[in-house]
Amino acid sequence: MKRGQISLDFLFAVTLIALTMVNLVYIANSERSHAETFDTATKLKIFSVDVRDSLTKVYAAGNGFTLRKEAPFTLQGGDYINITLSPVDNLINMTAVVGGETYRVVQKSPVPILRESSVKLTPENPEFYITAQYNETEGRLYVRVSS
Amino acid sequence: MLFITAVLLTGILLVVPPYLNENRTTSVVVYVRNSASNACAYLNTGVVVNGSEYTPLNKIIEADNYTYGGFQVAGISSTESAGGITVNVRIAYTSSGLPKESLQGNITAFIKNDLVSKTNIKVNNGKLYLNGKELEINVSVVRR
Repeated sequence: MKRGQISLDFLFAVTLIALTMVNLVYIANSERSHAETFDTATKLKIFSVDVRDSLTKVYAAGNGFTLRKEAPFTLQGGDYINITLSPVDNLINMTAVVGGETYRVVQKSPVPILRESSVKLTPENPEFYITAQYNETEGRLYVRVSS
Repeated sequence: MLFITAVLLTGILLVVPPYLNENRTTSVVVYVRNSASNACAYLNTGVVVNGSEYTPLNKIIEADNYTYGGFQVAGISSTESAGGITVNVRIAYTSSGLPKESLQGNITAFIKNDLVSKTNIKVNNGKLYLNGKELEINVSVVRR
């Protein structure tokens, strides 16, 4: 047997292996973009649950209590997170633009939201406050977000 | 020498097409599986991402009030015939109050779009084709 014959055989084996490899790389690559979006979406979901729980905590603590919260990840230029407490249906609406994509999460608030308030987190200003305020004339406790 | 080369080449001609064929079927199942599990993960997060590729799934999330739906790929199977490849995907979920038909339709739409945009699968007259072979995707949903 000459050497050339073995190498020809070998070459084809390599081609077939390469084909499989290319396929694998292709699949991995297509997975990545999904994973990146999923990563941000999950972080925002956790953040929305965190805000909901904080809201309850502040409401339970009562008049004058303030909690300072921060954006869950470092915001780049152009990114923002908008948090709105809506008295309609008692909802916490969160809209975020991260890396050019818009994300939206909605959480039901377990405590009453009596007045609409909203805050926008930007790279320059990534923190906000959740405050409880007692209104004596109405006898009701207001919770609101502010920067 | 020439004879041996001829034998080798014939052997290669015999081996390569079935290999590629097998490779293709496996790839298709993997692609569909990936798309389906991506769809489930997306639905479970309950976060709406504005992008045309997510439009079908966003409808489901909005109908489900942005909550966790417990979506999960319960099984996948494929059958190959002369006409093409059929892939059956079974998806289980726990959330109540979601109409089955629209679930099925929206998830199928997402998987098809995802396949067309991420792989070399082409769409023609609403049917999927991979290298000229027809590809059929059936999604069935079951509530646990």
